Amino acid sequence: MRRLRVTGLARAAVLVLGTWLALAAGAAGASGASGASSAAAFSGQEPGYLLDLSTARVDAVLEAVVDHLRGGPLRGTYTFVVQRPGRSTEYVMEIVSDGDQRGLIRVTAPPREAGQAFLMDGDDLWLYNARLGRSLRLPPSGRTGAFLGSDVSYNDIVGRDLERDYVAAFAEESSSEGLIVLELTPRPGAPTPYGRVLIGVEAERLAPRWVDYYDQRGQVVKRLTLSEYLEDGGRFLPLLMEVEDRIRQGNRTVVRLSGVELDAAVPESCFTLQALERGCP
Amino acid sequence: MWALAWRNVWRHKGRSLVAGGAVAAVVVFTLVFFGFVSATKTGMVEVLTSESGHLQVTHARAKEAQDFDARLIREAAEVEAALLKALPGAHLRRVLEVPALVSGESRSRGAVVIGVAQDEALAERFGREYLAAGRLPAPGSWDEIALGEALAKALNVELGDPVYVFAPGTEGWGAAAYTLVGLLDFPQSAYEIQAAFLSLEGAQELAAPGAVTRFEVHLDPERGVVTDARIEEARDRAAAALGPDVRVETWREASPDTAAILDLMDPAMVVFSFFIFILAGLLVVNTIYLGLVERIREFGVIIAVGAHRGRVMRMVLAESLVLVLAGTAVGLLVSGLLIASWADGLHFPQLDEVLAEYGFPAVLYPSVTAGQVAITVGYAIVTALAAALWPAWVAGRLEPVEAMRHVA
Amino acid sequence: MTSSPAPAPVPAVPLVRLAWRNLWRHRQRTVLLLVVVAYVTFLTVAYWSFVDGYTESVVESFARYIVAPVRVARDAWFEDPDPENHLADLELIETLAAVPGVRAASPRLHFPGLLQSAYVTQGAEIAGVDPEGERQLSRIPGKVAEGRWLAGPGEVVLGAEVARRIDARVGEHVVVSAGSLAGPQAMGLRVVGIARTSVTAVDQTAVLIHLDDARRLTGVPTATTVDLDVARGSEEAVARRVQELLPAGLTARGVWDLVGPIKSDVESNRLFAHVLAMVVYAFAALAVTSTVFVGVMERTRELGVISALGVTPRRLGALVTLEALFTCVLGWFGGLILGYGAAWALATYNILGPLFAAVSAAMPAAGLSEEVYGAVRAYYALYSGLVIAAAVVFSALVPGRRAARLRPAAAMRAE
Repeated sequence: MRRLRVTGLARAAVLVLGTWLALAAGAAGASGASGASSAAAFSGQEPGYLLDLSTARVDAVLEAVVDHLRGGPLRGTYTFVVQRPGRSTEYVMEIVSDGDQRGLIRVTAPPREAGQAFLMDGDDLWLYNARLGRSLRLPPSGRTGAFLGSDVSYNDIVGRDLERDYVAAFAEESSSEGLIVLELTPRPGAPTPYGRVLIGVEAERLAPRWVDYYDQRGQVVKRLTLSEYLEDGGRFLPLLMEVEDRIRQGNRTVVRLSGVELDAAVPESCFTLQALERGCP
Repeated sequence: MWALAWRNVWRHKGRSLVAGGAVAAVVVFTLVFFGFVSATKTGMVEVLTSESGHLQVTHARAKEAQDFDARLIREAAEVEAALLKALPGAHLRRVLEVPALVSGESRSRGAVVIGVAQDEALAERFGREYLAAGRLPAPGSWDEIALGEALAKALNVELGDPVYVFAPGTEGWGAAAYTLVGLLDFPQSAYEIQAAFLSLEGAQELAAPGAVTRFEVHLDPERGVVTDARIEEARDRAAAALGPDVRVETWREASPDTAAILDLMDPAMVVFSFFIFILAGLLVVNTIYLGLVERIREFGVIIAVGAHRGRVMRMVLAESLVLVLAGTAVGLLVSGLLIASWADGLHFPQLDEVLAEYGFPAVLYPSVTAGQVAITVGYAIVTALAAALWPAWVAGRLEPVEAMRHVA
Repeated sequence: MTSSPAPAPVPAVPLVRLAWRNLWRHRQRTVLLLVVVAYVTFLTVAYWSFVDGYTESVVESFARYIVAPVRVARDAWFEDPDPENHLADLELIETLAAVPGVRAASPRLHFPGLLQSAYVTQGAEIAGVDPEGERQLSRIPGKVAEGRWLAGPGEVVLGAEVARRIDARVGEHVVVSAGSLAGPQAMGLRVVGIARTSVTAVDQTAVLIHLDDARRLTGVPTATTVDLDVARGSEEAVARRVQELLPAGLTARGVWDLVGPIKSDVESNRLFAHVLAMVVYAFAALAVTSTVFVGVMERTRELGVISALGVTPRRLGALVTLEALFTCVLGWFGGLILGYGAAWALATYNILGPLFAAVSAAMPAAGLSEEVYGAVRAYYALYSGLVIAAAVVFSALVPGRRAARLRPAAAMRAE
């Protein structure tokens, strides 16, 4: 009987930790690929086209929505306010993204976290700690779960999972508030735990206003509310995102993107280990 | 009549000695057996609780919580003060468990970094049980770490090498460098591959200043034997003092699996005692019965010379009672002396290693309850008298001539 | 209880026959000794049948629910069970299946991963299995309480407690993700079954998926282990046989080497069992000795008569000892029949399982499933025989010598 019966929980904790480390890097990673162009092109269409209910049109609307959400190659500053019952934590981090699979993120506040940096290059993920002056390659892990202990998941800020994992249809062509509501149902075998996703989209400029994630029993479990759009050349990049956990009362994260430099010149040298340790010019 | 019985007992000295000795042996064996069973059980509880403590104090939502920080008892110092006030004399082990990445020069691994602060006796025992090489991190140290042997192997590090720990997103520094000072050998390899030990202060500095994930409370054994009742009473007192923000559990509640295994001992012992009692009964019955059967002829003679049958039976009964009571008294005396001589603990120094290996206590404290003594004595007397009455009854029923020719 | 004729002239009758006849003259005494010896033998056999059976049941439960009767994997994997230490190829399966004693061989792919429902994400130890092979190897496929066992890719079976914690129901899908050799992978799988085994470790941690899905998730083209189905009791022997065929770097381990910490539990139980057995042995020897002893003493007069007929004291001692020996051997045989009968019943029918379940909820935790069988081993006869023999020797020592020292005149006067 001389043994510690602990391990299950501990192992699970490690795995969860692994996830959010990966997510942290994911935030720096791929932004929407070909971004702005298709959104811009689409909003230029004639009004009559809006009545076309074909699959092609639904897919086009979804593509435009994701383009708006991602914004393309950019530099900027993320401010995460993670609210928990009785307390709240604020993280500030600078991001550089090549608009594709690579990204660099550097935490600047709070002081204890400052100087930490994440580099993502495809599936490779590196962490740099300024205090130790050391880089560490992180073990790979899933795309889901909480990013830096917040309510935001990887899928909310990066990648095109909404297109990849779901089949879209129109739930409401035009609501009273002038919104189109898209209903997304998971493709067979898609890595999503949700039963369906509803997206409220402005009929006029196709900018996303809210995203509701439902479980497989018809309950909303997570709600994203988007606002304060940065308009640039037909792109509507939401600068404010509020993520609300509908299961755990009082858990909320407010994400603000500021100092955005769209279509920034991002040199290749930003995505090397040197850049991770010394910063990107 | 008692005088006659007494004389008869002495007349058949050898036989009486055997029969009485059998009764005495039954009493001694049974009581010593009971004593060892209870000693083993309390000893095993002691071994278990010496590792995990009698009580465990965690955050109220620690079991459901997914996140590291939701499991923290943040005001550890206040909770500790309240705990010690409610349970004076208790020894505490303070533990902070942090999920983290542990890295050597070339490799890294997900692990649980465990910060521990404990008093010397607990640390000494922990080291003795699990330390394979080197030593544990010094209390209060910020730069020493001990790893499970398997983890050290996976990281490709040896004693004296640097080890880096990353726990970003926590409230401490989130990363630190340590010197590997000890290797630990746990029986469970799944645990060994992910266990990294720091001092509590080191872990707090890394991830959660001023916080712990749990307290393990060791009640003071000098205030008497630590019984379940005492543990539960201590739990209630601690829970009342600490309020609803933390959960106080007994070791039974915290690890029900272990407790359940231990509880399995009781019914097993009841079954075992049952078989032992049958054996004891056979022993008593055989010696008493056989001792009397050969005297059926004698009883026949007594009846033939005019004695009343009832009188013969009373005589036999009295004789047997004298014998049994004497045997029981001797048995009680011997077992009492034996158990009393072990009151300070029965210790086999040369077996320490073996016993510890199997989770048995090194020192046994045999004890018996009044109920066990009563059952044992009662059983010995009843079986002996039952065994004695049968030949007496047979003798009473036989025609004197038959009885005189009787051969068992 | 008739009186017997006077003993025949002794020198003419072989001692053995005399002893044998004496047994039946003193029927009651003989029966009592028989009962004691038989009971002691029965107790010893039944006791060890139970102790061994309990041990085997623990190990069996471990083999059928948690690991396997025999497991083949790389040495590196046994030290560090990470999918990167997977098997290089699976060509050995056919070789292994042909080894005498191996009833089936099936690959498994173990890996750590994340399990996600719409509500909770949690870490899990995931096993990719071949659904058909698993039916031979494990009892879990038969313990799916809701839904059904795996039929193909895209499906997952969860332990009851796992399902409860992530709040997943049959028919819903969950996401399983893993850090594969080629980068993070994830897939949505439909929960087709929820297993309720009453083995804590399974109910709390089992996440079982199809081997093909596991390969996609991990990037491992083979498996981490090849697990073998072999008969209960032959695990270690088969493991040794298999080992001879394995290339360097691969090891076959029987379940006993796989049980980990339970092993020390089981061993400590056995140690405890031996201590208890000592008490029984001592008690038993005492019972036999005293019965023989009293039996001799009451015959002092009779022995005196025999002695007066010219039997030498040595032969008289031998006579007494022979009588005790005959009775004990008879009793021993009787006890063996009863004991092995009981052991056979315990080993054949699941009598102990319900009994255990009735007294304690501890069984699952103890690594036991609901079935506990007794064991049948030859050495129980030896154990009980040794105890009886020791008792006979001890008892023969005293009364035999007493008989040998007997002075006929005094003895005949004695009552």
